[in-house]
Amino acid sequence: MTSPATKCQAVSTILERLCLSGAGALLVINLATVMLGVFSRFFRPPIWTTDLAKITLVWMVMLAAAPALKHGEHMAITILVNRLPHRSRRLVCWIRTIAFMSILLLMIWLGAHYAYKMRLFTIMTLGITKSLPLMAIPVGMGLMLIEYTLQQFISPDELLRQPNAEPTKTHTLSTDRHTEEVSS
Amino acid sequence: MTLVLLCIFFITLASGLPLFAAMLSTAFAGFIYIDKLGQLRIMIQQFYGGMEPFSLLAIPYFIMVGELMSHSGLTSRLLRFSEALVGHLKGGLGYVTVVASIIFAGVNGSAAADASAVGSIMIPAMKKGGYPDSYAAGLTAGSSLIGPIIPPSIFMILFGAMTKTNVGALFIAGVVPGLLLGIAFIIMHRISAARLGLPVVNSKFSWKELLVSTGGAMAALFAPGIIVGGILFGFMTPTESGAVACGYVLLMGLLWTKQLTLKGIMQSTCSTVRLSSVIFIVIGAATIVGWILSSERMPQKLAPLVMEYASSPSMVLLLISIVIFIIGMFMEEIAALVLLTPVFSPLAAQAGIDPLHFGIVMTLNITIALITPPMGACVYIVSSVGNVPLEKMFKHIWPFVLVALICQLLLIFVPEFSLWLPRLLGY
Repeated sequence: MTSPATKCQAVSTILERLCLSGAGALLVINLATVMLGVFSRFFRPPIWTTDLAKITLVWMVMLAAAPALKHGEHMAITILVNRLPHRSRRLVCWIRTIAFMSILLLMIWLGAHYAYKMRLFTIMTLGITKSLPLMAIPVGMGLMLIEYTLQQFISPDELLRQPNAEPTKTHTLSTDRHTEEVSS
Repeated sequence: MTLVLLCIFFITLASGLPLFAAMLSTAFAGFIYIDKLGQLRIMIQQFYGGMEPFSLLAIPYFIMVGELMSHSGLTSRLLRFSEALVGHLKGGLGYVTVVASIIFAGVNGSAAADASAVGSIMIPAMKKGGYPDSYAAGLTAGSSLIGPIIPPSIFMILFGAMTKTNVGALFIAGVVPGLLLGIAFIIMHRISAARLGLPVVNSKFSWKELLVSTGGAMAALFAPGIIVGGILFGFMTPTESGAVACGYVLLMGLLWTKQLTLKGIMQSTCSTVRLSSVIFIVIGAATIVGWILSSERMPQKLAPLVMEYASSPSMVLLLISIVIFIIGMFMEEIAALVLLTPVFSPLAAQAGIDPLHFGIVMTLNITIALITPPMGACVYIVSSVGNVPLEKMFKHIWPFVLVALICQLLLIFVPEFSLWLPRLLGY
């Protein structure tokens, strides 16, 4: 019988593949759109390239946010928490989890509400509703929330599971794709 | 209010929340504090608006260029070219590192990418060649600072988008300061090579090897020409030049080096979208906090304070630089740039500082933060790729920070370093 962690792992992998495929495809469309704008400049430049490039960028960014979260690429400083005594560390980790989920929920609600409000406005060059690009925010935040929830089942915070774990300092960087784990 | 927001930000960040979530929490707290809970939609407007500017599109493109270069074998060809050029000098590997960083800087716009690409090859080579590991890693981290100064530059794109400064002009203005930084590290290395008795890599200079390696690296050496030339001659905007550079490196990898595989393209794409996502979400979140600071007239409140202590534009720049240096030590660079630019640029304008000059000083300021402990991203990268303990890096990085700070002072007090070339080219 498969454990919930294994099931969650499978769902997380599928989610990551879907998100990365979508974001990758959008990057290709984005690149092609901008290049089309450059090379058609001397003939009949289409007027929609800039708007399409902006929309694909925002969707690409928001779709790739969940895989980045899974890989621990969103910069976070855990060095201070890791140095706390176990009991305090546990408390901070719980508060952190609740705070992160709350902020994601807030952005989903605000984003969906604003996208709904903007449904009657149209992007003239593309003839589409303004809600379409704005929906990227609640969708991206929602995907991050799903990924974060799955991670709680796959590998709940190691610090919570291992009361006597050797303290580690982790520095995940936004600019380098490296996660450092150095035993102190 | 600023103090309250700062406290909330650092508490949430210290709790281990991702940076963007810490900023969103701070922004939410800011809305409560200024009693604008009814206008929370502004959070979404600013978040979306911060990510949307067309000029920011160049960021994923230049990340993609760096990724494709690594997968297409152009990186190793550039290093071979650098080695043929300066490898015969005493302490040659150190010179190769600096020269490779300068050439790399002309292709991709990120110090992290430079540090990662150059460091993964050069640090092990230098360690093998008898260099102290902390020196090898420090030199790589220091040289990577050239990346965001010589065009293209992600920091400049961001600065230009926020202050409506011409990004092309900023790129041109960065050429001389970038070379200045490169020369400063070469001088530093020359002194250190003599002091540490560093070895020679190639016994003698070979024209044949130089010609062969130049031929191999030709495709990569053309890329800066496409980027800067396209902007300079008005064919393309910086964003468009990034897209064209992507296409160019892709073609070169497929047709010239023939080392770029489908797997390499997929890996490059995945890394690019994930890294871009991390950067843009921080930009979006920082834009909301920046809006709160601006709506509370933070720059206007700060101006009289600074003007009281600064008697000249250079002194204003110096004061701003000191503040950014301190903040940069504890804050992620993109976030610091997005938060501090709207605060300090009105002040710089009021003091009569040229926007290009301010842009270059601001960019170098933020760039230096990449190697200052405890948050310097490039230090973490070189420590990781070079397998040098982080504690050792933090201890030995300061001479390199000092060299960068000397360059910073030169740029502050001699504006011509930043302004001469753009003026010459009519910007």
